[in-house]
Amino acid sequence: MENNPYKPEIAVIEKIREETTGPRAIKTFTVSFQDEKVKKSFTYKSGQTAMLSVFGKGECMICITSTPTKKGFLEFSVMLQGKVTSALHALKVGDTIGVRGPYGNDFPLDKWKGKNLLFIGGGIGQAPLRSVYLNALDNRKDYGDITLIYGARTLSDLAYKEEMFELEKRDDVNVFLCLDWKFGKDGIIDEEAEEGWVTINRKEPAKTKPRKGTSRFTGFVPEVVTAVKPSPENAIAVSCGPPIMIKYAVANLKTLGFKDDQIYTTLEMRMKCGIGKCGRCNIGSIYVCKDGPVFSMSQLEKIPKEY
Amino acid sequence: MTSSNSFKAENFVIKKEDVAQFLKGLSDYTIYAPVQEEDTVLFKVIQNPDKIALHITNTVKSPKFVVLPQTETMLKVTKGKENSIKIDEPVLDEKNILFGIRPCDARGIAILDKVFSGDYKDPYYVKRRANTIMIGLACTDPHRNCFCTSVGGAPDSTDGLDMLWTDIGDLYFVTVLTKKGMKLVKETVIFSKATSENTRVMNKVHKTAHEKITEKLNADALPKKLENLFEDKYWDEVSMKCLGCGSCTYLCPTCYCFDINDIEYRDKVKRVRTWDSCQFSSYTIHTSGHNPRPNKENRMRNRVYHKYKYHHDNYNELGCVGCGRCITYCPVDMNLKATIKELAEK
Ligand SMILES: Cc1cc2nc3c(=O)[nH]c(=O)nc-3n(C[C@H](O)[C@H](O)[C@H](O)COP(=O)(O)OP(=O)(O)OC[C@H]3O[C@@H](n4cnc5c(N)ncnc54)[C@H](O)[C@@H]3O)c2cc1C
Ligand code: SF4
Ligand code: SF4
Ligand code: FES
Repeated sequence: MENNPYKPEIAVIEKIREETTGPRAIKTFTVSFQDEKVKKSFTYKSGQTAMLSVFGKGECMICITSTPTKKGFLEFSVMLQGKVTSALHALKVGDTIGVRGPYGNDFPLDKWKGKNLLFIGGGIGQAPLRSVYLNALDNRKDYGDITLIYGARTLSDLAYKEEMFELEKRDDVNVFLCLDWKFGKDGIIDEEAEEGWVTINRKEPAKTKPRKGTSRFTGFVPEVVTAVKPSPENAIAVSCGPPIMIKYAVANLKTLGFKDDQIYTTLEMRMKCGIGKCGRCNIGSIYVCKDGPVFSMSQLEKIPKEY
Repeated sequence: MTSSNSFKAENFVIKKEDVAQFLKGLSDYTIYAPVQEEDTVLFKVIQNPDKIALHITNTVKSPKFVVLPQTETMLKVTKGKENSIKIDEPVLDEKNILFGIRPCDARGIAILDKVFSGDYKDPYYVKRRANTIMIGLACTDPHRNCFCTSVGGAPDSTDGLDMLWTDIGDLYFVTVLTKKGMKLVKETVIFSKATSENTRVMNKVHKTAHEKITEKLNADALPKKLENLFEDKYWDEVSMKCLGCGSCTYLCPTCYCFDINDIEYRDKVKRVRTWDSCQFSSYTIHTSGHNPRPNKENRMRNRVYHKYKYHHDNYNELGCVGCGRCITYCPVDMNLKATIKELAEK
């Protein structure tokens, strides 16, 4: 069959990094296509997704978390969920998986040239953002300020930890890490956490004093947004993570003066085909698999709230 | 893939007593036609043309399964040594004839043609469809639930067909609509040119059939109307008795949603596609338990919106051909015709 979009290409797992542990553990897989021709011809853009197969278990849609500026491999960060994600977590280096794609639209990085970029991520939501900020950082001169706000429940729930700590050291990107839980008090102690995390003023987050450049906080991501006070001037904000985090982060961005067409996010719907045929990922007349997953808040205003 | 525009339709007639001989001559093809078994009529592969039952207006299940099987193996995967993986695709070169398909069902397939082509071609559908010849049978006795004329169709619609046959007494009047259809006619001497008298009778039969469908619904108003009815209480009321059984979508000639799953046996895996239904809660539920369409009112609303707005937004035509199956076979008498009427009046 020629051009069968349902037929995956075979890829070999080259590296597995355990990002977080526990019942919702995250692992990042570095894979490369077995077929040299496919390895060369497979191109993608930041924000696009791919359908991963564990043969015998099925398929699941995962966003490509690597940046297209680095060639020859793909990275996927997979959170342990059900059948296929569990099967993926059981694989070892050298094992093979199926990959088909890339699918969907991308973040319009070309349109954002010259702008200040703000990335607001929570949990596994950092996976789609990572492709975009690594891409922007590889084309550093094309963009203004680049700011990352990334939160997790505890320090051990923070993915891409080493990479984040390296980014903290750079002076061309502002990094704000945040943990939901204050350690030591409230009966919740994060064993791994070190000193030096600024506690958010819960009553008036705006009064929290972050250091310029890089800071570490304990507090919820939306509160950190308010504390950091990013300027809406010539800026784009992208927020991915749990729906509740996105909701409040977006509200706080709007209070700061961000408009709907300056704020982007990604949507998730259950998916099977990835190419707009199987029907299930529709919201109104759009199919998230091919028309999404990237949407601006002004685009979301126009579709039914059925996601 | 629909009837090629360049072809100029030609008219023939065939004697009813010669139909069996015509079909027997088509031995290169697998022929699907309506067959009666006890009190249901369904499209089945026929070996013996005498079994064909054309007396019933339409079959319980639509014949869409010939181009979109209810279950099909998409890929066969063999896991070998050292993580080697071999993927085989099916060979789909079986040639099919759909004999006696009703105009509404042919229009249903014409709708599917557009869905399965486009940005991404579905090679399984496209291949099967290219290998399928559709011989339609004009309706002379529409069922009480038929409403094709309200949704752009007609008892003698030719959309999607390669030939349209009309019962004109001892003869079938045969309008050949495509090259694919012409090839079958040319292969035999059974067909003769239609006379002007034959044409007159055919036109009369068509006219009578049109007149039998007395009700005209204002279905064309729906794409616009539905823009503002998403949050309407109507959906809670109208979906109250729905069982969520999915019969309406399985029998519908234009429903095409599917699921893909793996079946594993030792080192062999089959990746299988099966029909699915937007009326099931499992259709949209995430692993986390979150469901964007958690209740039957959300799901019924989606079915009606898909047919009468979303499909129209994307393809500029309604996604329903008015076959009436979802009305006739709903176990709790949900009535799409009534729904259309009520929505059009809102
Ligand atoms: C555009 C997009 C990007 C995604 N990116 C990532 C990512 O980078 N990392 C990550 O860990 N997860 C991501 N997900 C979620 C991931 O697809 C689901 O967690 C996964 O499909 C669950 O499959 P499972 O077999 O483990 O669970 P099961 O419940 O056993 O899944 C059965 C089937 O349900 C479907 N399904 C269930 N939940 C979801 C869901 N939330 N979203 C989509 N399909 C679902 C899948 O088709 C799956 O094959 C993404 C989802 C979408 C739609
Ligand atoms: S056939 Fe009737 S009861 Fe079953 S899902 Fe459809 S509308 Fe509901
Ligand atoms: S929605 Fe009902 S009437 Fe319309 S095509 Fe489908 S089964 Fe027929
Ligand atoms: S995943 Fe099949 S239509 Fe989007």
